[in-house]
Amino acid sequence: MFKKVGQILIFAAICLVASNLQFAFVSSLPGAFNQINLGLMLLVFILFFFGAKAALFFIFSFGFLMDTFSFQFFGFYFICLAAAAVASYLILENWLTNKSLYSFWVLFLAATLVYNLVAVILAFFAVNFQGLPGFFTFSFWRNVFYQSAWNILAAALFFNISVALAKRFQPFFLEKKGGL
Amino acid sequence: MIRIKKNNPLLIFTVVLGLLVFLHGLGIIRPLENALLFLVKPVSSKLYVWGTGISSSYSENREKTDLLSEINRLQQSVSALTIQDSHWREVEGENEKLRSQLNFVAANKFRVVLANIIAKEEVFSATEDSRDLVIDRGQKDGLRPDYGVLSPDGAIIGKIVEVGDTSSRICLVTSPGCQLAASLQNEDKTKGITDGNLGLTINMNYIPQLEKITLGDMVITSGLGGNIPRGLVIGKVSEVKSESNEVWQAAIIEPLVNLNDLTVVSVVIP
Repeated sequence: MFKKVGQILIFAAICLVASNLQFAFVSSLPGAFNQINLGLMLLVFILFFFGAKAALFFIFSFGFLMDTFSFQFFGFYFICLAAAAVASYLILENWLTNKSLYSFWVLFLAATLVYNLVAVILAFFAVNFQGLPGFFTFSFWRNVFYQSAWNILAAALFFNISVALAKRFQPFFLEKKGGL
Repeated sequence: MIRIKKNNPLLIFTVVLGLLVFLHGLGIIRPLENALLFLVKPVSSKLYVWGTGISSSYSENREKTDLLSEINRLQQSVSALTIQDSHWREVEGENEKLRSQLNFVAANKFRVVLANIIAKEEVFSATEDSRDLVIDRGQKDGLRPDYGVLSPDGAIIGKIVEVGDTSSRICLVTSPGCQLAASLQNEDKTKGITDGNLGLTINMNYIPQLEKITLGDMVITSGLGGNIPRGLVIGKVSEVKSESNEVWQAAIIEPLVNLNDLTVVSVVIP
């Protein structure tokens, strides 16, 4: 019981720190650095290693905090994160056959694209369909590219650290005894 | 009959999201939201200052090569401005005396509320790269939409577009869609509306061809139709776009302050 409560508190604290870092620190960084998306990185990491339930809990915690801090309409970050999680989950369950670094990269790329597309579509709804949706601009695709690059780096880092810590994902080879 | 699984994550998500949006709409969870904001604001402010520090040093390194030529240009400009400044001081002193004689309240003595910038927020819109600022003051501090926001030097940097209980969102003068009623300090006192351009410069469009604009003309707020007082400096004209076959001409205005280095601002309460 206490272990469970402790886990939940640690998880909530991680979400609070990550959301505050994303909201205040990352947003003020220069150039491509402000395209780091900590929420998306953590979401895919949790989905890949801990499953859908943990990811759902993360969406609620992180989404609620970001929606509270931000001036986007309430629910914006919930929906963006949920869409990215659904896309990643479907790919993970239906297409990918193993949990390798390449699978992790595919999930990150899919999640990044879906997250950003949903974000600009929601923003377009929020301004009553004025102008054109953001995906017609160069800056949108440039930002998707930067985010993908950061996410690929983060995926490589997360994956290698996880492999080093847990033996579950280490590669194994079947060797024929006695040689040829 | 359709069977719905009890632990269906999509169902859980929809129900909880619906409930949260409903409670947020009714304002029931507002105390929790305000408490969270109160808790993180000091940390956010510090994190933002660190991020801005990194950003400033990054751009300083990048621009080092341009600095030498800029120093030369500025030295010439300083000597010219020093002479001009002594002249203006004399005029200001004279003006102050005349105003007091007429029992005038000086036009630029407005109340300001100091605020820390706590974040930059991306605007997912059709316009290229647009980022608004979030400050740690809101409705409870007397702020309202359309109030002007000043840099520590006193130049106008944008206006409030949205206020929360304890925080507000500011659009920068260089952001597309952020419009201000402006006036040029030229012979004709040309009036117009400024609009941000790509987050870098400011456009002033629809100026009649007959109005004479010269490079370096100062642009100030005109005080027309809003909560922003007259006379706040927006920037100076860096380019004039004038074609003989066009009805209108346009001016490109360069802001006087670096909008990326700001950490503290003041909001003008009219």
